[in-house]
Amino acid sequence: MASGIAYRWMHPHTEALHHRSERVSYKAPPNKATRLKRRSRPLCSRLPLEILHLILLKLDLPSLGMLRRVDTTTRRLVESLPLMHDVKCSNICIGQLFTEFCHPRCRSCSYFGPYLYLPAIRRSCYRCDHFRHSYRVAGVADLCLQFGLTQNQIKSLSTLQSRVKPHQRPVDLTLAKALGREIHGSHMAMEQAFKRRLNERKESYEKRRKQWEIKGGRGSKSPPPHRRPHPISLFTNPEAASHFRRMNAAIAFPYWDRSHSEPRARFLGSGWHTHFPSKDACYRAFLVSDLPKHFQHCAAAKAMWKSKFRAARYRGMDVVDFIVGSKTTTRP
Amino acid sequence: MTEQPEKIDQVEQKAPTLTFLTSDNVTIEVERDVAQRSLLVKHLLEDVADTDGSIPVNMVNEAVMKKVIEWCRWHKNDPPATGDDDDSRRKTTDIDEWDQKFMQVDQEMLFEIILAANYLDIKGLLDVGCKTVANMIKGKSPEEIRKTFNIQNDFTPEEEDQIRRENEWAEDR
Repeated sequence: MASGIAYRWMHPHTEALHHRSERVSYKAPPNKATRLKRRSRPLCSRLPLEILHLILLKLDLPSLGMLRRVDTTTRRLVESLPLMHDVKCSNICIGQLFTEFCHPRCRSCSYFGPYLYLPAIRRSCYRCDHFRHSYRVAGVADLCLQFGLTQNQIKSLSTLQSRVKPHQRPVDLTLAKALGREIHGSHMAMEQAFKRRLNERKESYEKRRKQWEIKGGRGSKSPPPHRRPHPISLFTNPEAASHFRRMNAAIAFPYWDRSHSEPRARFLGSGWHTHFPSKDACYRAFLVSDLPKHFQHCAAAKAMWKSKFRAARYRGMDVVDFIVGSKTTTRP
Repeated sequence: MTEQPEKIDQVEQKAPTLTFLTSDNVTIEVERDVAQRSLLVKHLLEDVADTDGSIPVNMVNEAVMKKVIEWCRWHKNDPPATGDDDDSRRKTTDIDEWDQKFMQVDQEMLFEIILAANYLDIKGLLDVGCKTVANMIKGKSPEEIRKTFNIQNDFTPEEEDQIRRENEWAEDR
């Protein structure tokens, strides 16, 4: 009687004869691209992100720029750095910023400028920042309406982020006006675009009002449509020229003296002598090296000091007089 | 440089020790004050009174652990790190001469040391490691960086051209 085992053997050559055939598994050699890919190990796969950020923070901007050009992963790594992200997202040209950094004087007058007017990236002094017409800012929406611009067109200008009113996004008024004139061709065409927009706004309001009245007007539950107030000219709008707004558009900016290869933030604001009838010196800042030159020839400072000197003498107080001179001058 | 082994021997004879168990199951004995350069170990010793058993360091192997201990031993008397460094210090890539020689290892070992310093919370060593990698990148062209870290360029010529144009301002300086 047959055992039946033979029929249940699936592989009789190995199970009955114990013959094991060697299976040759052939694998084609990888092509050049695969070989390179296998060998390539981006930095991201070798170190965690927080350590890579620590390394990147130790690099200067040119090196970061070179690193961006290595490969896609490394480029994304560099751009994930908050500093690089800020630089990329802003319209600020770093080259222009560096030029202003090395230039000590205000771009509109000859005084020392301790501020940077952000919308136009130019060095400025306190007086120009507050009183000069070319240093005014206004919100993006107002400027778009006034100069017939679209949101896309105004994107080419530097936009600030207002901490107080984040929706306003201040932009330089003069630059926006110049852009409007360039797009429309002339001042007249720009004004016509403004009037057209006002008419569109009015028509839109009337349309919404009619629809509201059809639905039942005051008897209906829905409130009447909102009517936006007639815009005041930005050039006469007191808000556009307010000191608070202007100061938000400027930041304290040190001066880089290339010959000393270190930042020189040592400037002084002088509020303690005034040039009558103007308060010129109150708004002025000086480089430390400029101070002796100014006070040597400043008639207002001398007059003020003389009157104080006389008053002190009159009261019988002991006053020490001094002469301001440069460090190299030998005293008599 | 010749003073270093003598210095280590002196310390080894006197100080109380701690035992570490590395990822490859090797026990390493280290002086307590040397081991305390690691904030992880320091806090562990503050929290746990009984330190008779070996402390497992699962993320670090024997070779790397020995290098880390060598660094800690040399910098045993350095003042402790005072939290976050200011920006001006963070930017510099100057490394002490001894640290420079210490970091003359192959890239794999360098990255392992950095990871170990991060795991054991040794700020000084992590800083030196990061500075070393930063120095390997600084002042090099993209091609040189690719060669150094064995990275393949996967940009198309158009992409490469665009990034080069974006970087022009930085390369002019």
